[in-house]
Amino acid sequence: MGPMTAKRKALAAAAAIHLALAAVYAGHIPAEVFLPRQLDRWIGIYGSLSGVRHHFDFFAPSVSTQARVSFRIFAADGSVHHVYLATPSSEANNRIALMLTFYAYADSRDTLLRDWARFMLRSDPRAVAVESRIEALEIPPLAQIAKDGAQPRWVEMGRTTVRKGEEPAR
Amino acid sequence: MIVGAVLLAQAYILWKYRDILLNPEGPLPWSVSDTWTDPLLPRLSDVLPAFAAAGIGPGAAIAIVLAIHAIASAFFMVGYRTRASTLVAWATFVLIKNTGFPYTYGVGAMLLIALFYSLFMPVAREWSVDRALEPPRPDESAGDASLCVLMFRLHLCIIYAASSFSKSVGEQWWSGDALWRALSLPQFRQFDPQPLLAFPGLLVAMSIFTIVSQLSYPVLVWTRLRVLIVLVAELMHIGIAIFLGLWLFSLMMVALNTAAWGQALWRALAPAGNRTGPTARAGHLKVVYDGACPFCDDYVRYQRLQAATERVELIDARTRPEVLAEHAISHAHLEDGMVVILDGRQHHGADAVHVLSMISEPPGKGWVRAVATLGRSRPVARLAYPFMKLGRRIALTFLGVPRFPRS
Repeated sequence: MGPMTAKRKALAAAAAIHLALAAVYAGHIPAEVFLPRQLDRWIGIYGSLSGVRHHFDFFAPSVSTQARVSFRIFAADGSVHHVYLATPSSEANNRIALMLTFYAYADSRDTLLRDWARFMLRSDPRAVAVESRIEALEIPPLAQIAKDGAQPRWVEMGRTTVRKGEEPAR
Repeated sequence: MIVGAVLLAQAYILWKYRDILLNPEGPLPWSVSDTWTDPLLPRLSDVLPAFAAAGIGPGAAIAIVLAIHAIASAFFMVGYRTRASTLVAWATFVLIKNTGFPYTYGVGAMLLIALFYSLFMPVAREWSVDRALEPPRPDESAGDASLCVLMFRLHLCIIYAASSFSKSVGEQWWSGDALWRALSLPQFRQFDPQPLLAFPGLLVAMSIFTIVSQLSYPVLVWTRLRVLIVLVAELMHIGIAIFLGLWLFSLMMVALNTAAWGQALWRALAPAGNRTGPTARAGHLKVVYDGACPFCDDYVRYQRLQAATERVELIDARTRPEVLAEHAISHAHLEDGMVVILDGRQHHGADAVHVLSMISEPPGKGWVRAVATLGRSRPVARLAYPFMKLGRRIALTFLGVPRFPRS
C-alpha cells in the first residue's frame, strides 16, 4: 500500500473541517465575530444543509415552558365556539408547540397572534371573527411545591381579535 | 433502515397534517417564516413557481414534493438504488425542513445529519435490495469506510458533549427541576408525575445521572467501557421515548449510536463463534518485529489476535534473523516498526498498524488500545504514524536500545 493519496488527504481535510464546524456551532462559539460576513454566511448555509449548524442543546440549559393557543370563533349567527390549535397526533402537537415558542420573540408577538387568528378565519367558513389567545404553563420549582404545594397553572400571555374584513390579501 | 423508517414516519405526519405544518397560509404563513431564514437556503416557496408554471397549485405541489420524499425515503429504507434515493430524500428533506423549520425539533436535526453522512458513507452494503440484486463482485473494494465511521463517531461525541455541557450549566439540571418540568409538560406527559414529588432525591439523581452519562460518553466510548456507555446512552433514549413520548427522536438516536458503534458492540457482546464481518477471521498472520524494542514487544504482545485469526506467529527478528531473507523484508522496515504478513501479503509502517488494529480484539493495555483505536482508520493511522515513529526513535535513543542490525 502506498502513501496517502492527494484524494485521501483532501477527504481527511474535508472531514476535519466538517467536524470543526460542528464543534464550533455545538460549542456556541461566536464564529461570526471572527469571520468575514460573507464567509460566515456561506458556512451557515453549508451547516444548514449538512446538519452541523446545531447547538444540540436539547432541554438545556433549562426546560422551558409550554404554550398553547386557543381560539374563540364567532359565527355570523351569533354563536361562539372555542377550539385549541391541536391535532390527535402527539408528534404533530410537539411540532405545533415548537412553533408557538416563537412567541418568545417580542417583536413577533402581535404578528403571530394575528396570523393564528387569520388561519382559523380561513379554516372555518362560518367564522366572521376570531379571537386568538396564547397561554404558557407556569410550573413552580420543586422547592416551592415542597414548601406550599404550588401547582402548575396556565397563564395568559396575550390575545387579539381579527375580523373577516381585516384579513389582508397575501 | 431505521433512519428510512423515521423519515417515512415523519413524512406521514407531515402529509396528514400538512394543512397546519406545511401550508403557505398555515398558522405561521411562509411569508413570515421565510423572512427568518437565509434566502439562499432552498425552500418549498422556491419551487412553487416552477409547479405554478405547469399549472399545479401550491397544495398539489407540496403533496407532490412530499410524495417524492416519501418514495425516496422508502427506497432508502430498503436500500434500493440507495445512492440516488439518499440524494433525493436529502434534497426533498432540506426543502421541507427549511420551509417548516419552526415546526422542526431534534429529530429533524438528527435526520439531516444521518442523510448527509449517508450521501458519502458506504451505506446499504448489507441487508439491502441493492446487495440482493447485485452481490459484491470479487474485485469490488469495500471502500474506505473507516474514515466515514470515525467521522460519524466523532460527530456523535460532539453532540453528546454539547448536549451534556449545555445541561450542566443550567441550575434546573442540578435541582431535579429539569426532569420534573419535562415530565410535567402536557406535550410530553405520558403519565401523572405527581407521585415522583415524594422522591425529590430520585429526580435529582436521575438529572445528574443524565448529565454525567452524556458528559462521559465522548471519553468512555474510546475506552474498554465503550459497550457500557453506549448501552447506557441507548437505554437513556429508550427511557426518553417511554417517559416523554419522543419516539421518533429516540429511535433516531438509537439508530445513530448503532450505526456508529454497532459493529464494535456486536464484536464485544456476541459469542465468539457468531462474530462475523469483514475483519472477523483472517487466515495466517505473521508479525515480524524488533524484540529489543519494548514498544514493539508490548504492542505485539498486547494485541488480541488469536480470536480473529486462524494462526498467529509473533517473530522476533533479532532472535530469528533468517525470517528477513525468507520474506524479503528489508532492515529499514524493522527500524521503522514492524512488518505484518497476513495471508502472504506484507504490510509495513502505518498500514501494518492499521491491519493489526482491524483484526485485533480491543487490546488490554492502555497505550496499545489507544494506538489500535487510532489505527482502525487508515487515513488517521497514516497521519499519526510519522509522529509515532519519531517518538519511538527518540525514546529508544534515551533507553539506549541499539538500532536493528543492518547485517
